[in-house]
Amino acid sequence: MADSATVLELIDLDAIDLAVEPADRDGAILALARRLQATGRVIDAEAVTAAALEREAIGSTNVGFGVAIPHAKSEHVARAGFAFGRRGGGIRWAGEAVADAAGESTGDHDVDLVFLIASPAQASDDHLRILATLARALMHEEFRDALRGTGTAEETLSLLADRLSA
Amino acid sequence: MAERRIVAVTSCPTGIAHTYMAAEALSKAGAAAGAEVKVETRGSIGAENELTAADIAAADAVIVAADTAVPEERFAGKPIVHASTGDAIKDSASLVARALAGADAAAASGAPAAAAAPSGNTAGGGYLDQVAAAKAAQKSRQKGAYRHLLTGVSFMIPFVVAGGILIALSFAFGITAFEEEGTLAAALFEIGARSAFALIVPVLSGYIAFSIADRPGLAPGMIGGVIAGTIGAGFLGGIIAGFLAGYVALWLVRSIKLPKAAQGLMPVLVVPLISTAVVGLAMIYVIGEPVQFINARLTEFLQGLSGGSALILGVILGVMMAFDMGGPVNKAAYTFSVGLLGSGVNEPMAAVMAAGMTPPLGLALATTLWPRRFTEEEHEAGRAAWVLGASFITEGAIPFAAADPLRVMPSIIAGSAVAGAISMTAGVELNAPHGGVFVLAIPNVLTSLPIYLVAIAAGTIVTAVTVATLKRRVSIGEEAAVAGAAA
Repeated sequence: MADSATVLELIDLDAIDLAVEPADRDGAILALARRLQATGRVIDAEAVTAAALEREAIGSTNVGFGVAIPHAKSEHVARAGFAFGRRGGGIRWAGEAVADAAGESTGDHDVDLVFLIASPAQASDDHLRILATLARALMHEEFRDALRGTGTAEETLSLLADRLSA
Repeated sequence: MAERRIVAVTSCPTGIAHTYMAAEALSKAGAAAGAEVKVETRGSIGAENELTAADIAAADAVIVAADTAVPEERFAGKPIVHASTGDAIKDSASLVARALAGADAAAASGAPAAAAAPSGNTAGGGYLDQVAAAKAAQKSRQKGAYRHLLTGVSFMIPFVVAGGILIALSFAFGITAFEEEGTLAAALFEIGARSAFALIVPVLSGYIAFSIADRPGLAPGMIGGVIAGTIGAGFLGGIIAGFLAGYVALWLVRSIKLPKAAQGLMPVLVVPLISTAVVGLAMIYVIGEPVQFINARLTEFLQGLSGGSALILGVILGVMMAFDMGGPVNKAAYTFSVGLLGSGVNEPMAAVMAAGMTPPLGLALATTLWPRRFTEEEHEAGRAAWVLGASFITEGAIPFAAADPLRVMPSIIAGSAVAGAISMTAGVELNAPHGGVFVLAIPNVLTSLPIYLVAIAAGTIVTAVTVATLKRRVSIGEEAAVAGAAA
């Protein structure tokens, strides 16, 4: 799928946090946004967090299986990318966003794997394709289990590179 | 059993993640259920892995997993399951199961029917789904050849109604008013009889073929229909032309394989040329000859009968008038009677006109008295049929007869036989070859008006009662069959 771009163009080692501190949704998103800001992809972590929460209000991005993929499309993003956060004790993904388009809450369950996806207003199709590949990969249990089993950020990065660059 | 196919569309507001997760989940669940799933993703990259018309045509069911509006016209007639992307991500297996159940239900009832009640639905979708389901359920009762016939008839009805009423209007100016060139009556007759009625059979056969083979069927179907008119084969000839054209075109499209560079020639040259030639030649040489033969033999037969029993001649003229409405049998009876007018024998003309009026009148009466045994379209056609029947425009019965020949033809034949027999036995004389009720009021055109009205009324009632009886049996049978399939 991603011939011309690899996942390494989208994630940096420093954007991987295997022990996310906040146990609440908003805090976790902000923590990951700060990491994206530190690596230069995001210009304003607060603004990106706000955009991601706006998306949560439309419908929770807790997709089940302990995975949430908050995402923001915003002019406060310099370069497309994503951050990965893990929290063994779980993060409460309680959306006050009760109703998504299905009229049904998908929130209210703890998640332990979070991908914060940040995309500029005009993202390149290549980058969007990689994100699509990531989204597809997350539907496979063995990939999620592998993400839960890595010991270091380096290991996680190479897992992502292996899995998403095919 | 062949592997079942599902097509799906996924779409979410940002188009970054859910669209693709839902797509992946559906593919996975499909593979697990042994079904081939093709998913079109409508994300921020735009539509990818787009469904082609062929994909959709081959699909047994459709899943729309979307949080945004997704156009669904292209899935018309297929069982559709609606869900949010969230549903698809979390419980794709049950969506696939529902889609397959919908496909099975549709297959069991003979045609794709909307099934599988949507749960996580986009707002406002519920009502539209119900309408679609009801329509699909109605369609599912119309199987195979019958459905093609009905498609042709539904396109034909406006031509019958518009043309027929304009002809009737021209009669209102006086029964021979249209013969005067340059008059409004002549113009109305030109529009109705020579234009609209000339298109009845071509439109019928063209859209029968269209229903079978889609666009490639239309040209050979319409051209075959024109030939059916030219050779005097009437609407029955048109039905033959339509089915022949449809299946020939379908076969050509499926079996001719051209090199890629020449494929563009298929729809514009190869298929229309070959199918039209085949259908046209078949109509002229295979259908045309027997039609002329039948017409000639019947004319001789009628000449042999004249001077014999009035009752028998009346019955036979009646049967022939209703038999094929514009075909060789009908024409033989009509021309025979018009020919006799010249020799001062006017009874057969009266019998023929009565017998030609009762088919539309009887069917109109039936749609009024037993509305539930007819489709919505037939109700429309029924209202016009009053006017057409009263004007001796027998073609008003064609939409009914073409849609359901096995039940309608015996009914109208019975009614016309009764009308012909009464008129003939009573010795009613008519010296105008057309006009219906418009000539009845003219002095000296018709003898013994009261008995003539009795003949027409009797034929009308016989047709109405017969068709209602035949249709009732059938619709009960079909409903039972559908219920059985659904259970």
